[in-house]
Amino acid sequence: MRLRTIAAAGLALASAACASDLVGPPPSTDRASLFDAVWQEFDLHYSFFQLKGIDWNAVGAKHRPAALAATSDQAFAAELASMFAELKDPHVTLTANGRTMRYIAPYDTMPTRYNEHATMMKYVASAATTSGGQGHVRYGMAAPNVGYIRIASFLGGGWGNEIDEALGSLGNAKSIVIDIRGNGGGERGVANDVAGRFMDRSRTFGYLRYRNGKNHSDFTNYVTETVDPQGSHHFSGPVFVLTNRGDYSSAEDFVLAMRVRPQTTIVGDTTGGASGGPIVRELPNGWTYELSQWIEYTPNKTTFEGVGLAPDVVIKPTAATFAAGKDEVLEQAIALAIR
Amino acid sequence: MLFRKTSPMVACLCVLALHASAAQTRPPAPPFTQSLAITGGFTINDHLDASSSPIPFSGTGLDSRFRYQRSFGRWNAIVEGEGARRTYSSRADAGTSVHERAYDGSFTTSLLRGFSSSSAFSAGLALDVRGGVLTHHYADPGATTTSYVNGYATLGPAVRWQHSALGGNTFLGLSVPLVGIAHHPYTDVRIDQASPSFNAVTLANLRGYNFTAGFETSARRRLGLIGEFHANALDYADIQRARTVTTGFNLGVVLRFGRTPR
Repeated sequence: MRLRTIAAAGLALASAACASDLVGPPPSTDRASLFDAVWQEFDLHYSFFQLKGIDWNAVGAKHRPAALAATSDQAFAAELASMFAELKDPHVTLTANGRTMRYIAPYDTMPTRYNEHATMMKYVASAATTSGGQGHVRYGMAAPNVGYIRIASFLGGGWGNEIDEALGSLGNAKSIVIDIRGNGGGERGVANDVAGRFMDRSRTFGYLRYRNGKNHSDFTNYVTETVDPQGSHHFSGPVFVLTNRGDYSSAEDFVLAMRVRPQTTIVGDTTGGASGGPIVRELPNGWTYELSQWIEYTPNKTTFEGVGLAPDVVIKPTAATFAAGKDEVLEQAIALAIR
Repeated sequence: MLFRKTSPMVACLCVLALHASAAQTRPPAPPFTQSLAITGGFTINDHLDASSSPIPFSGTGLDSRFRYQRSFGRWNAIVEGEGARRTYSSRADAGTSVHERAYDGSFTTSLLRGFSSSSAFSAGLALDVRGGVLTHHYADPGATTTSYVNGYATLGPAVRWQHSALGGNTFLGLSVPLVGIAHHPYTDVRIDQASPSFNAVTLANLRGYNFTAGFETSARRRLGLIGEFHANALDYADIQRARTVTTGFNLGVVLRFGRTPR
């Protein structure tokens, strides 16, 4: 009996000791293995291959020799970033050794002819900043009865309620201009929280389909995106949302949500068209990267990736008027508001 | 590889148990028909879940368990549960700051029948339901934290050997999944909220075992102490493979009731 007990205990300890071997060794970190790993992860998860007509096999075959021939980590990372750039997706990034590389869209380098500071100084001289957080929202009166709210970014979570303070202070406004020009996105939840302050009821503003299989055409069914009334302060009057090509991702979600609201007019230029919903992945050498995992659709189930959301009233500021200190987009919105 | 390495261990345990069974004399009638064991202990864990990362992780955890056992003549019904909190760190050669935290649990119901009235062996079926939430902390600039939900419900054969020794009971239990359903996330929890998917599994794509070895003191008293070793492994050959191995030691008490000793 004692022998059996000792044998059982020995077997138990042996199985405990070799647990890590059972799972297998860490994957290799040589450049070929890293390249193949990242290529395969994109092959499994990236959502826009079909929509953008990308032959991922060909892209991999094109970049693999150069990546394997790289003589330094920096050169290898640059080659990976070059491969990612072929996707033309602002949501695709690579962070290697603390440095993040991302695709630079043509619109990123175009002049927006928008200067936040100059606009605030000229048109909203007595602007205030919400005190609840880190100044995510600036607000004031742009004209008699026309409130102005500036949201430069939706980065950071949980500050959507700061909009209540702004709405409380703009209580006399009969219409409100929401300026999100140059807003590169951030947290979808915050964008939805802000939009909820302007909703009278729950509304469907779009759909998502998630990549969910190894084939490039494998997606979930359409998942409804809704925006619900939220917060302690609501505004039910006319709203004018100012947009331009610098609006991406969650900022575009905000535009989508506001577009389905009655008495809402989008003024300015078309948004950037980055709708992918990124996920973070990692490589065995510690590098991380992001890639789009879903396709977002408008309420009529059309995509806007790489296209953007067109405004109701198109205003493209000219160099001359911008140089003269005029904000044509805001002026047009104010004119529409007081009409 | 998982089963090439573990099958010798399982085979040895079976041989050991068979040897013990053959050598023993007719066991005395069990003095109690029911028992409830409650234990707590620590676990050593290793896992690889390609849904979250290509990197294998290892770590430790704390778990608590219960086991309710009731005998009906030659039949034996066992209900077991486990809840655990585990932390993992990366096993990548390069070393990264990524780490994971998991909350998981299992619930197993087994119905076993003794080979004969004098046998220490019983065999039957086990329904095993297990799942958990894995929170993966990436080392990206945004310090992204993403959760992954997984779950498995499987049915398969189970065997148990029990032997009276040193005034207590020694026991070994082993079950393996044969068929069932699995929920293994394609990416993160958002996709589960959008469209959860469940796949049928068989030995072709899911293999594993649950093994327990333990000893209960004072078999003829209502209250005893219990110490047990447990090990389980699971290898799910999904598009993105999931492998996990957990071993652990638990200590606790066992309460016995039902028929009193004569």
